[in-house]
Amino acid sequence: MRSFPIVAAALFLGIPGIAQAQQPDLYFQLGAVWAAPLLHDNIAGEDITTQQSIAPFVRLGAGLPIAPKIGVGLEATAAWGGYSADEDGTTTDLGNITTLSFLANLNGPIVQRLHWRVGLGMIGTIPSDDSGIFLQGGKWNALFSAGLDYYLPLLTKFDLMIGARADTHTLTPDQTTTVGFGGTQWVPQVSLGVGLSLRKTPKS
Amino acid sequence: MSRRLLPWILLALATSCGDSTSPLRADAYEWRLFVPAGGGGTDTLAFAWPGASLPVKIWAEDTLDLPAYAANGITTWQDQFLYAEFRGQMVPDSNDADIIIVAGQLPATARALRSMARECEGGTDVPLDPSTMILTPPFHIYIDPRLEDDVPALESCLNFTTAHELGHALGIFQHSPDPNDLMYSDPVVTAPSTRDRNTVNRAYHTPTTIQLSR
Repeated sequence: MRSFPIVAAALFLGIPGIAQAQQPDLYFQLGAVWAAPLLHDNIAGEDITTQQSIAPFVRLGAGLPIAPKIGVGLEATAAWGGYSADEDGTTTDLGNITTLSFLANLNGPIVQRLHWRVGLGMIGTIPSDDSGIFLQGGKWNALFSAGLDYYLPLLTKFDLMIGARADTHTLTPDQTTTVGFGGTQWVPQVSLGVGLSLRKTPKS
Repeated sequence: MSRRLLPWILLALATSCGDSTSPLRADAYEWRLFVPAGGGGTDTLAFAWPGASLPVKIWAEDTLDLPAYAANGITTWQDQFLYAEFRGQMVPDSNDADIIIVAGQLPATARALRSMARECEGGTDVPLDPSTMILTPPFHIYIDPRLEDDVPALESCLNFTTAHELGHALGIFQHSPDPNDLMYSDPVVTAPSTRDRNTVNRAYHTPTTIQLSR
C-alpha cells in the first residue's frame, strides 16, 4: 500500500513525454470517501448500525481514447479508515478497514473541462482484524461507479483535476451469512478527490 | 452516446441500494437469574459486562493447562459477537483480575453454578449480593478433573468446561435445557451452539439490572 504514492510519482515524472504522443489519460488524486452503512442489525429490540468512517484515499488512473469523444481507462483506488458500530448513541470502535478497488471505465467530455466517467470493477474490503462481522475475513465484490471530473489548467503539462464519484457495491461478509443474515447489503459510496492529470484543457 | 448513457447509469446506482435482513435470534434460552423479592415476588437479574469495563481481565492458575484453556475460552466467546460487545484479556496477576480460574473443587458455601461433564466438573462463584443487586468482581471459577489420567477426553473436558464456566461469568446465569448447547448443565459439546450465540447476544443487548462495583 505504501508503494502507491511512489508508483504515482514515477508515472507522472517518467511517462508524460511518451504518453502525450498517444493522447493518453493519466491522473493521480487524493481525497476522501464516505460510505453508507455496512450493516443494519437488531438484537433484542436494539438497532445497531455498522459504518465506515470517512476515509482518505489515493487514486491512480490511466486510459486511452478509442473514439473522438470516448476513452477507456483503468483506475485503482486505495482507502484507509476505521469502522464502528452505533447502538442507541453509543459507538464502539471495531478496527480499521482497507478498501482496494480496480475499475475499468469509459469516459468522455460533457463540455470542455467537465468529463463523465462510468466504470465496472472489483472492490476488496480488507479488515485489520478477522473479528466480528469479518471473523471469516474480508470480501471482494463487484463495484459499479459513475463520476465527473473537472479540469483546470495548472502547469504546462498538467491540469488540476477534481473528481467526484458515486459508487455502489454489495458487501455480505461470510460471518454475517453464518449467523443468519439474509439478502444483500448494498453499500453506496461517494468520494471527492483532487489531483493532477496530464493536460486535457487546451493550451492558451 | 455519453449523454444517453449517463442518466441510466446514475439511475441504476440510485436504485441499487438495499439492506440485508438481520437474524431474529429468537432461538435462545433463559439466561437471567431469578431471586426472591422482598414482597414475595421474584426479581429478574440480568448482567453483562459494560463496555467501559472491557476488556475483562482474566487470570488462570498455572496448572492443568488452565491458562491455555482460558485463552481459548475468551476467543470462543468473543467470536460469538459481531460488534465487540465482549472482549477478554489474560492478565499475569490475579489481583488485577475480574475473573479468576483455579483448579479444584467449588467451596460448598459458594453461591455458584455447577457443570458436571463426565471427565471433569466446573463451578462458577457469582459474586452477587441479591439484596442490593450489586456484583463485586472477581468471579471465581473452579475446574476440577475427575480423572487423574492425562487422557484426551480429559483435556477436551477441561477445555469446554472452562469455556462453559466463562459463559456464566459473562452473564449467562442459567443452564440451557438442551444438551446440544455448551451451556447445558452437563456439557458434552465442545463449542457454543447457535442457541448459545443467540442467548449471549441477547444478554448483551438487554438492559442490565445488576450494578457492577469495583
